[in-house]
Amino acid sequence: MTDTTDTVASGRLHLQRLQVEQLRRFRAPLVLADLEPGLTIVAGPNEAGKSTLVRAIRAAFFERHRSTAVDDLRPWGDSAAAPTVTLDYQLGGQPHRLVKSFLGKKRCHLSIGTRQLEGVEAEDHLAQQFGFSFALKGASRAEHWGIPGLLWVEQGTGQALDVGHARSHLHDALQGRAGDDPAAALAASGGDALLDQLRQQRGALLTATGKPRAALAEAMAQAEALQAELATLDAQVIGYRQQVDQLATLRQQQQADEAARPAEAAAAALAQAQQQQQALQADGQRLAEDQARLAQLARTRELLLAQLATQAEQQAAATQRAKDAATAAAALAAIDTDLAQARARWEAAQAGQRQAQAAARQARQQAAAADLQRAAQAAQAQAARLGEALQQALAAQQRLDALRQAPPGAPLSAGQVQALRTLERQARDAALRHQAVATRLQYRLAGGVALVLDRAGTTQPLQGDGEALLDGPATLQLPGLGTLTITPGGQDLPALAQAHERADEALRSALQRHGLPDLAAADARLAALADHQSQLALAEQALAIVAPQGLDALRSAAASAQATASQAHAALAAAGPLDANAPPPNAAQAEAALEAAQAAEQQAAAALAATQQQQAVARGRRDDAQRESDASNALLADPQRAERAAQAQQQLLATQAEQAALAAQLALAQARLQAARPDIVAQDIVRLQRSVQQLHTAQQQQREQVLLLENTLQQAGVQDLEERRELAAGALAQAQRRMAELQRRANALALLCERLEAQRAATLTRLQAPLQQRLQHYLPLLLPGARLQVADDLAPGTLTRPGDGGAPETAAVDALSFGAREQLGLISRFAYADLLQQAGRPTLLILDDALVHSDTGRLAQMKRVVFDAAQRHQLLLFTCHPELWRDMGVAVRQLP
Amino acid sequence: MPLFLHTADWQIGRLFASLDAEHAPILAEARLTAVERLAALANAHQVDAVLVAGDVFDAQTVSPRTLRRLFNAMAGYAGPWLLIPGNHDAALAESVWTRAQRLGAVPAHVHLLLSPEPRAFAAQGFVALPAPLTQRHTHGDLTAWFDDADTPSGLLRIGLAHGSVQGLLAEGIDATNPIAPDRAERARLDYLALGDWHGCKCIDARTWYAGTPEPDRFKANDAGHALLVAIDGPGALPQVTRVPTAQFHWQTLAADLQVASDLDALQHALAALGPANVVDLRVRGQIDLAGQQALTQAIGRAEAQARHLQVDLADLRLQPTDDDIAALQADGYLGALIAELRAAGAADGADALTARDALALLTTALRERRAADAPAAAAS
Repeated sequence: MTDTTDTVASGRLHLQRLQVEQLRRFRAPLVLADLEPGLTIVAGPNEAGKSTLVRAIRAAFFERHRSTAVDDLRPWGDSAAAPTVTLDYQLGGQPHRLVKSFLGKKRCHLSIGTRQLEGVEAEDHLAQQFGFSFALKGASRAEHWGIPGLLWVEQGTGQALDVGHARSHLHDALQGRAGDDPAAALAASGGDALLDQLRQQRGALLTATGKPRAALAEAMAQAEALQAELATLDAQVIGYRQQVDQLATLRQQQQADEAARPAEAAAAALAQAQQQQQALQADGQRLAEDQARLAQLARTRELLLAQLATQAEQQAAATQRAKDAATAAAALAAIDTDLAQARARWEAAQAGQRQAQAAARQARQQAAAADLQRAAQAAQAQAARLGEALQQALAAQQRLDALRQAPPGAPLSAGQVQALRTLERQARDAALRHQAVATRLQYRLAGGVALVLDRAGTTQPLQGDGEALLDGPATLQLPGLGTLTITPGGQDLPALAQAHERADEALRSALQRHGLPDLAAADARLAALADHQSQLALAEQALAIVAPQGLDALRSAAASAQATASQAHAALAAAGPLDANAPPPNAAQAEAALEAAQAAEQQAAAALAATQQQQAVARGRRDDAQRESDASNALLADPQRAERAAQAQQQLLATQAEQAALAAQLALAQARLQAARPDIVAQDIVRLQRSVQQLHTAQQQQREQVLLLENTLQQAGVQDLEERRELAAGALAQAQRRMAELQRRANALALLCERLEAQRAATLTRLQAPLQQRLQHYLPLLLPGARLQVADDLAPGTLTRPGDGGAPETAAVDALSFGAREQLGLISRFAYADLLQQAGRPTLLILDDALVHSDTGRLAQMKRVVFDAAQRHQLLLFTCHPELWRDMGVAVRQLP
Repeated sequence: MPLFLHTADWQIGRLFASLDAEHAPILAEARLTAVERLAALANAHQVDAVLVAGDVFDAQTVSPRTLRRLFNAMAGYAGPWLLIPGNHDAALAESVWTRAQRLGAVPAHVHLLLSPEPRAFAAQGFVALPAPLTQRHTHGDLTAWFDDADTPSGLLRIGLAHGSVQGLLAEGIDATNPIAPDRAERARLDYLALGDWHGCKCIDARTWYAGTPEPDRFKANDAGHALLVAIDGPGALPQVTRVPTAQFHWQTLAADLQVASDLDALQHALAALGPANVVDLRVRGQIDLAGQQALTQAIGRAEAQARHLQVDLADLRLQPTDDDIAALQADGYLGALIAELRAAGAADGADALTARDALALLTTALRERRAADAPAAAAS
């Protein structure tokens, strides 16, 4: 690789002149002429039109001149404008001039030396040359920009590098270069065209997913259809052959049957069986007749036997009747005897009864007399007892009266005594209270000395030892000495004395009221009264014991008993004296004896009546038996009767003999018939009849089947069957061959396409290495010692550089600052430009306001990088900071 | 001196449907014209009778038209034609013969020998002893009755049978319809005319397979003849002459390409093919790109020349030489792909076959591209 700047010799791109008119703010033509082959710097403030120029260059390449999506190119308010871009450039040693106008005048003209291209042809030539594509519809977008999209950096996008859109163009651009160029060696001349061609061929046989289609699918379907057709025909052929074989078999059978005639043999056997059956039927009829005769004989014999039996029975009956008559007569005689006895017993019973009646009467009379006597004695005793009780009662009454008339004193109750006792206690208490406050006068007087105490008019002599209670003024007369008046102190004394007096009074008056001297007398009287009361009670009790209903009642009862006793004696006297010798009367026994006698009489009377009735019955019987006996005897006396009996006996013997002979004959015939098995003979006939019929039917069917088969086989339908089968088999073989061929071709094409695509994809990936190499050309200028790794998408992936401590540090490019990413992005683009240039492709780099985020140090380094790139590529740099780019060795062009 | 024309295995009604639709009818038609040629031959040699030893028809159900056309084709010789059924046209309960009779298509001079009984042709001086097949296959020797068949003295005893002579033909052929190898001797036959074997084959002096007059398969067994049989008199040894009758020559062309000269030989063989050739070409071995191109061209030319050429190149491996590859100027990944396919194609199996096919497709495409580029380059 040489860093030559000889553009003509290398044939590299050199944009020489750019003219823009009627385009946005450039209504009048703006011309940038004499552009450098290397770096050109265009400066202008904001809004000066730098971006419009960039847009104009893009439109000239990317937009179809007929596009309706480029309204943004129109100057404001100028609807008739025809925005026009004119580019003059050298490429491949030839001058090119591109004139492209839009909207108002849609035109595209490209002249290459003497060659002239118009319209779409010119546009497609550019696209092929520069490596981009057109939008099918609408405005051109990033995915269409291809290689220019990579090399033309729009304002503010320097950090973003998406190689994806440029991939296929890169591939096209880098292929087809012979020699030792590493990138070119990996591409392949015409590879894509070849792949397209093969894909087309594959598509003719297989769907995108590898399923058979079109010719291959048709061949498969045809083979399948033919297979089915062949199977059908095969089945028909087999069927046909089977039918032919069946026909042969049937014909053979038919011939064999015609020779053997099996039906005739069966018919002969049938006739024989039928004859046998007829003979057996005749035998059977005879047998039935004999059986009927035998039955008649049996009936005759039974009748005869019955006749003989009747006669024997009559004889026996006569004998029996005679015996019965005798028996009846005897029975009558016996009953007559019984009757006499019964009468005698009845008469005896009647006598017994009369006797018992008399005895009973007497017994009753005696019992009544005894009763009277006892009553008289009892009445006497009662009267005596009541008289005594009356005496005792009178005495008790007398004692009671005495007690009632002599009470022990005035009546005094226990309550009254208690009241008295209370009064007495109150009086004593009052006295004590009185004495307690009285002045106590104790005295001990010498013998002989007597003093007189005068109190309230009363005097009391005092002698010896003693004491007196003074409850009022008292005067002690001291003989010889005068008097001593003593006045007891204390205010209550008179009141107490009064109360003491009142209590004594109350007691006194109470005692007086009851006529009592003192309380002890009261107690005594109360005791005497109680004693009197108890004596009264005793006396009343004594009276009540003897006269419980009172004295008067007792008195009248005594009188009444007396009267009764008198009456009883009178009655007894009237009854007369009792038989002293008579046994003690027993009326009950006599009554019982009477009842027994009466019962015996009744019993005897009943027995007599019964016996009389029996006698009447016996007599009737005897008369009947006699009558019957007489009748039987009359019957037996008939002279024809014996003759008839003999005749019957004779006839019976003859019948029995004939019956035995016939039975033996029948047994023999029956055994014979059974041995011949007429049921089986009948079955034989059915079987043979069916066989004959079946054989006839079979023969008929055989004939029909043969005819049917012959007809079937002669039908036109089976003709050329095997030819058709062979045709089908041939067609199938051909179809299968074709299917196999197509399948092989499809397989081969599928493999080829798959491998080609894989190889092609691998190639792009292998561009990494040369790209890496070019990156390393620029990177040390910016970051000494650093290394930029290219990722699978061919964009910068990771950056490795010496760290502070000397150890290398690795970071993803995405993680770097905007400024650093922009710097690395530009370096990557320059590396691509180098590769493309090596592959002989035109390279134009456009940087719109790039590197504005770089610090001074980095910017200085990047200037060196940019300058270096501009040695190999034309580079248009647009900036609004012209002062930053004055040291690039070229004049900074100012936009007006 | 009686003279016979012995033939067999006409297989009329055969369609060759598995061949190209273009060729099949012609080959089918050739079977009928072969009968016409036989009639002409019989006429030319003034034979006493034509002996047809079975498999006159290929199938029982040939179309009535084919049936009639066959008997029409026999009109060229008015003498007696003696036909016996073979395994393809056995005299079954319902057969091509019963149909022919029903159609009234059998001319008077054509004798259908459908049952095993002597038929005297006194005027021609012989008695025919036929062993017709009345089943498709039998396992008993249908010619056994010849031994005990009495014929008038002074007349030749001519046997006709269809089947496999036991022990003489290839293994497996003699499974059904067996014929004792010494039947002619044991039955005192003057000649035993056999059919079933499609090649012309002599069993002994008196026993021959005539083979089919018009070949119908690629098997190389000397088919395509009829036999002229001259017999001086009873007991005399027959004089048998082979007469070629074939219109088309069927052959299998097998080539194993190992060295460059193998291809040359094959090319010569292909170049020599003409309109009478029906060829089954099977090529195996390996071939380089140039060889493949040459072979393809040779096959193309031969297809145009021959009556029918079917080609099987499945076992032929395309092995481009390094020069071949260089000549294709396949650079970059195309070159890599060719190398990959060459390696994959060197193995055995279905995948290798696909790889070889893919390589052939790729090289062809590359060659075509170069061919297209070359004139363009020359023009510019």
